[in-house]
Amino acid sequence: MFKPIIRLLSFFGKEVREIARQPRLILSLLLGPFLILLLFGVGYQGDRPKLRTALIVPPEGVDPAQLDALKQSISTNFALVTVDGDLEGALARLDAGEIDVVETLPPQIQENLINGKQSEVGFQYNQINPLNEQWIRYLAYAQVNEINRFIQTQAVTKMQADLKNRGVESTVPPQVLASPVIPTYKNFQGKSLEFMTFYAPGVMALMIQHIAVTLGALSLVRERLLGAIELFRVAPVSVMEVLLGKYLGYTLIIGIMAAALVALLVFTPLAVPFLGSVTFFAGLMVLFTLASLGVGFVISVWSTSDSQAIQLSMLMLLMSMFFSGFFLPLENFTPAVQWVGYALPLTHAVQGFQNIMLRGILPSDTTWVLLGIIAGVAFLLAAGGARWRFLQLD
Amino acid sequence: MQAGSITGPLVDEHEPASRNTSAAIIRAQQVDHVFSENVGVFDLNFEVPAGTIFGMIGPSGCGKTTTVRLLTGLYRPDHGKLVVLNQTPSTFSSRTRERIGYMPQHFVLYPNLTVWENLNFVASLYGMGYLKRRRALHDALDFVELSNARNRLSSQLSGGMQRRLELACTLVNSPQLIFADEPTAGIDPVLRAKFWEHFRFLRDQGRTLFVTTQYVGEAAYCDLIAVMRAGRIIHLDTPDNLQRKALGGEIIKLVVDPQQVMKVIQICYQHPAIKDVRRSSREPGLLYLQVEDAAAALPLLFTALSQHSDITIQQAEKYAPPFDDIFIQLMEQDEGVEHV
Repeated sequence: MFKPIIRLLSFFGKEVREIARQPRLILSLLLGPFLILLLFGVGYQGDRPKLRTALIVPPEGVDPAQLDALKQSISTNFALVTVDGDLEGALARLDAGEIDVVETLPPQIQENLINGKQSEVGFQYNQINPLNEQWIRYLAYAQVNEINRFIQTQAVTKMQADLKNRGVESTVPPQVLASPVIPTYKNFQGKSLEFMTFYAPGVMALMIQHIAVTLGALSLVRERLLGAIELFRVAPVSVMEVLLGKYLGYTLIIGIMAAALVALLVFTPLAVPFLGSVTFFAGLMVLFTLASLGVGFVISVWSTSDSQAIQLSMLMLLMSMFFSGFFLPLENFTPAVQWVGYALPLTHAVQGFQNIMLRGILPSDTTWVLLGIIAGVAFLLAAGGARWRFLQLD
Repeated sequence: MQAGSITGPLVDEHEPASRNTSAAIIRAQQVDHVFSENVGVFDLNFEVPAGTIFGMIGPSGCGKTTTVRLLTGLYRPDHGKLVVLNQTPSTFSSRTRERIGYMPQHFVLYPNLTVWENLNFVASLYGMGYLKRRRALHDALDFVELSNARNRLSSQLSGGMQRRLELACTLVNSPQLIFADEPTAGIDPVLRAKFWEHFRFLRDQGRTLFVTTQYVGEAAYCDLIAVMRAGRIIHLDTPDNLQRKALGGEIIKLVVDPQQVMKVIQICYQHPAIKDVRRSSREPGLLYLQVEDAAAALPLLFTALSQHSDITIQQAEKYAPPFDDIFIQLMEQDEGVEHV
């Protein structure tokens, strides 16, 4: 009656002992994510790119007062390096990579305006990075809006002065007429979190998924390469006992490591908040670990060597970085590709851990259900695959 | 601790300690397992009596491991019938599996576990409870003389110690039937002899051992030997009978005064009990006499030679040639046979 339990626990004990015998592995698994987050928190500026800009003014020059106002407006978004009329020199520096943007102010803006023509502010750049191009276009758009507002304010001021001379007085300030609508902001969270804090649950989840997938992926393939499967098949051990024993052992180890990692994040100067329920956090962690281990075991039964298992684990990591919404929002992908993201345990863990830790709310039902489905499907695939591998000797 | 001095350790309280050779514990009838044309095992027919050491000898790749895997249920026969412990191996019940010990050819123990932990793990696979396991572990380690190394990581053991630990793992569940696939491969002759000492001790306890080996000389330790070649058993008999088959009878080693050799040869040639006489090229007084039965021929030989007072017998005894020679002889005999 107790024999199946003894057999199951034999794998549990073996896996725990084998990992416990490797203190460097534990240390790297534990301190790795902590140090990555620390480095991220200390080093990430989280700001838009500083675009080194050469401002080219028209040959006839600009009114000094206007130029100062323009420079101030431009400096908000662009780091002005030079202000002169040397377009060729600026383009040469752009080509040499010394500056990022050449901004050319148009001549005779006011005359063009009076004549009903638009003036063009030129932004020239030399980018292959699509994100940087988006930033340049966005900041240029914002800056041109600022210039337009400045010109409109000036024009309204002048018009109001003319009207006043004709006896018509306006009580509306020129700034209001130039910009009748302005935005206001309110964050119900009080204020947004530091980048490091915001990404902390995600980094932790990413590392835990990677540890679980790698442990699982190496597990069965190593047994096979050692020749132990042959021994298991002759002994009165079932595939299910092997698999469940390993699930149990690895879940305990990863659970302990996750608890230590959370303690490091919360109770050290990183001071990542933990606002939600510890019980639900633990429950989500167990489900997430089981799902990740299942994916690892599936990799393991398909791999023919440990290097292949590692390679597939790394692919899983890469896929998770791209499609889990960890860095790039999931909504940015087409609906079909979004399902790739939904099939990854990390996608649901990041959302769930962020909800519990940072918002203090429970993960959505979808998180539990989809993570449960991934864990279940992975278990079935791993069990079927392991059985096939067990019988493959035949 | 000497293997022969062990009493408690590996004695299964549920099994008789006396040798029982009456019943066959393994039966193979016309068993084939074919991987590809001419690769596999073909037409295996043999029985292994309980309480014996059954040795399977043959060159590398001849099908020894395949046979063991068939007998342990790792492979299914394509054709024929296999019965081991009264069951078909591929459908062994858990209880039957608990009666089997298996030492695979290539199993490597877990390097990050200690000797004790490795053994404990294997014992747990057989569902042994804590107390029973603890006793069995101590006994098995005593048996292979690794008690002092129980806390050492298996990665820190020498090759011979690792092999001994693997043997301990095979025996920890006190199996009735033991399969050892080339247990002595790659270990030194002293340890090999020790292994065979262990095997004979286990046999004397009433256990049955199915042992494969490439070392032809180890055939002498077995009760029954199957000689394999190209997937087929070409000879199956006791070591003595195999020797008879290889040499056409038995050999008497006779040493006389070199001056009298020619006269002795003449006498021997004329003697009806002696089938052939060969003279050693290295030792002038040494003769090898081929007879049907050495025990019966020796007195007759003494009688015949004693009639000649000038002949002095310095040495006369039954000669057991090295099994390597016998094996080569058997292989050569088989070369002319075409298997259909």
